[in-house]
Amino acid sequence: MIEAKKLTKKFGATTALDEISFSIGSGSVFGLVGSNGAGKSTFLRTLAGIYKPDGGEVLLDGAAPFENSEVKSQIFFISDFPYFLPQATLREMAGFFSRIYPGWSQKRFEELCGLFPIDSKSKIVNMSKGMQRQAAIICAIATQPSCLLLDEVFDGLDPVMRQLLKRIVSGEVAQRGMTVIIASHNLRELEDFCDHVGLFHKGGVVFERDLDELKLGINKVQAVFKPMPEISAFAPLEIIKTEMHGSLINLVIRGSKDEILEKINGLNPVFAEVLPLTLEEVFISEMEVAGYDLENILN
Amino acid sequence: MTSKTSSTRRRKEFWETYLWSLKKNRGMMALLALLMFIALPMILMILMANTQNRITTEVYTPEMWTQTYLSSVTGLTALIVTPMSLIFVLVISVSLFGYMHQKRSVDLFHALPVGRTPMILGRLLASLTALYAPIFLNFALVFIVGAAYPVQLQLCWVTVFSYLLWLMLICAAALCLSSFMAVCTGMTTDMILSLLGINAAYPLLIFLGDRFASSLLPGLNTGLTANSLILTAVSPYMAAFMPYIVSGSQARSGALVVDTGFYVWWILFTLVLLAGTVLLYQKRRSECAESSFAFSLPKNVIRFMITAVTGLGLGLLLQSGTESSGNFFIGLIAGSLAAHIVTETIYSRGFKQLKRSFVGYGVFMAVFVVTYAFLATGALGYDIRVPLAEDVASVTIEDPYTNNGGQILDANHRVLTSVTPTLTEKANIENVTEFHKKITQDKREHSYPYCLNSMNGTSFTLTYHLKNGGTVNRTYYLEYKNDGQGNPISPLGEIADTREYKETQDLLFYVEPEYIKSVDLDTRGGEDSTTFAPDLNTKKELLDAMKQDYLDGKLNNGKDLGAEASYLVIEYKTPLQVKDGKLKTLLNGYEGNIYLYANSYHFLNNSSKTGELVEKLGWNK
Repeated sequence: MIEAKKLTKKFGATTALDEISFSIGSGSVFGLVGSNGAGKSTFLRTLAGIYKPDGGEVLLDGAAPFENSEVKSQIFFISDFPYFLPQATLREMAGFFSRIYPGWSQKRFEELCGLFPIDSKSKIVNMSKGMQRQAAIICAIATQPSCLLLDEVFDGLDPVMRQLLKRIVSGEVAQRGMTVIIASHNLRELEDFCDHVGLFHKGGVVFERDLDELKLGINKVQAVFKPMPEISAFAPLEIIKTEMHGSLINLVIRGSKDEILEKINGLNPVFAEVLPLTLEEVFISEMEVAGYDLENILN
Repeated sequence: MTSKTSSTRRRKEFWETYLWSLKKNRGMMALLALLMFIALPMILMILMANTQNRITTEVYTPEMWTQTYLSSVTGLTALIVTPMSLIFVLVISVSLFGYMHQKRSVDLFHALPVGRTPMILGRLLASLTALYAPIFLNFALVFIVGAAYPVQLQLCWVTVFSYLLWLMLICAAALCLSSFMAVCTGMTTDMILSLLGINAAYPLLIFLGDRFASSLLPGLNTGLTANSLILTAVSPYMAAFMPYIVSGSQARSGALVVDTGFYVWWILFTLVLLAGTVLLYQKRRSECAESSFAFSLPKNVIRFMITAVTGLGLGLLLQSGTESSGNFFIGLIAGSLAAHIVTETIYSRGFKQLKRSFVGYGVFMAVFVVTYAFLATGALGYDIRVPLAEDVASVTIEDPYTNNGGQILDANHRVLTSVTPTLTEKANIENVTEFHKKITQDKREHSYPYCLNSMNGTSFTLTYHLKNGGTVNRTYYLEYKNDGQGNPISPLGEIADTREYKETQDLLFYVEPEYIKSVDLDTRGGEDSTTFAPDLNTKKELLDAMKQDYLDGKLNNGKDLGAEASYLVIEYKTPLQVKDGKLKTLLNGYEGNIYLYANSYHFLNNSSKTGELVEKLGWNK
């Protein structure tokens, strides 16, 4: 289990993580989403033991990772720009990691080398961005971590490789109970991969919850009214976003589908339907609630 | 149990880091070994073979072989091996510690399950191994080459070993300084610039600071010499060469002149830097990679040093050319300001931090103003402090125009002591203190508060050895008067004519007749000279006559006595075993062999006892 307790990290005058507190259960695939500079990568680096917290703590199974080799041997972090030893091949990187990570599985490494279309004897520096990520993923999985931290791992991977990555990671989660935290702006990829999601904004956690629960808890309503009721008539609904175009109104509302539909029908619409939100729509809606002025940015 | 597990884990982490780092640097190690082989054993082999080819027809003794071998080894080590090793220290440091300066590599290495202490120590040990293995290998080959020729290895192994030891020590010190700078800086370029800065700026700061203080405060004698430890105390890249420079000027055998204090300091310096590196690395924030500095203290110190060096350097340069204090201040401000701005601009990659950095410049100016005021007002009475005669056990006078006693060398041709006039009689000490007071009063009356002067004139040093064990040392720069015949007159006046002064002024009064090997005599105004090897009684007679003439002013070892004088050179036996007597006392009971330089004297042909003896012996015919 991963716990962040009032975790704070500052870079000079900038507070990247501002007393965030939340927990991630073992064996879950946790998606970290948020605006640019929200603190997602900082959180991953702090959990990986790279950064020392300036306040609070982050714990993996009750122990802080910073300067704790025992904890760090359970974690593998793939950064947004993975680094490899100069002029190293994948096999050389494997040799390097195998000496350091006690859980290293050569068998698993060989299996993964067979799954990914990558030449393990070529210099990684000469490989494409996507191939370099594959190399990093192979090494990461072969260390058999109990916690895998992935920062923008889908970048540069083709759709087939993305599916392969998801399948392999899901397999590790299912077989070994590995916990995965994945920070990404690719919400469509996260949507069918993560079981939990956390939304970071300006160094804080806007929310973190089960993805299904999240998606079921927010709905989009399209309704036609003739005439359009006063906006105060919608007050009983927990509206996140409203858009009106003549007699058509689009609402993003927090609550269950049935509950929302019942209240909308009570206002006698000509037509009303409740649509599920994509994760991207949930993200945008919640970010607007959190003060992320999307309209202004786009305009 | 937990502690034991943790310790075992740390050991494993250290070992794995060491092995990996060594593997990473095996190419560098092989390259160093190859280059060092070319620079040392290979060239040595060629030199020894050339010597052998050259001497097929003449006699070449083992002593001569040893001398050739030693001078080749020491010369090659000083000129090629040491600079090469230091360059590799820098290259290996960048290779093994540069990872801290890139965010991407920090992400990899700081996420590894390896503690920071084993990580840095493993890399340090690997760096040392990569340096030491080629050095050891090549010095072993040096011994093998020596063994292949009739070299007296039993006589020279200490010298070669001392070179090896010094090289190893200074490489370790340079490496620890490099790793310390790597931890303190955020970028590799800053690490290299800081290393260059501290190694160049610190010795210059000490040198210029000494010149500045000595130019301002009358009598100040810091005792700074080329082999002063303080001159290169934090600059291993410079200190590496100091013993070679000093041994080059002092020794003929090639023996490395490294005092025990030098070794002790550099061992301590290395250990302190090692501890500092480990402690700071534990506190280093990973996010400092690619930023200006992880710890700003070294940056501020180096910037201060460069500012001070440039300011003082330009100030003293302008002042020495014009003898104007105003020019000194113009040079100081212009030089220091320019250096501060340039240094800050380089460190901050632009002018953004410049305004804030002037706090640092303000600190420099404040330090300078306080130091200047302190020295110009006599450094709390330092300028007029003259010991009471009753507190003085003896006083030594270094006056270049009356000091001709010469130096006494040990078996390695290192200076054991110099024959310097030393006064112990109460009346003489009182005369010296009175003479000293006159100098200080004169300075106070005519030039207080003090201004910079260019240290013109002849340096004149008084060293008081106090009864409480302390010493008081003062050096003045005096304009000497002339006797009309081109001979300068000592400002000491009657003091220089006392019997005690003369008897401690020249080696003649310390040597025994049996120390003399031969006498070269030139009675024909330099046309030709004749060498004599007198018996013991004649030597004794000659020595007594010369001593008496010296006291009577009819013989000396410097002044021209005119056309009626002859010229005589005393050659001493080498090496010389000192027997009990005045010389042994001067050497504080030294038991080893010594070397004495040949001394030359002018004496009057007719009126001197020496002239009479020469006449009696028929040496002038």
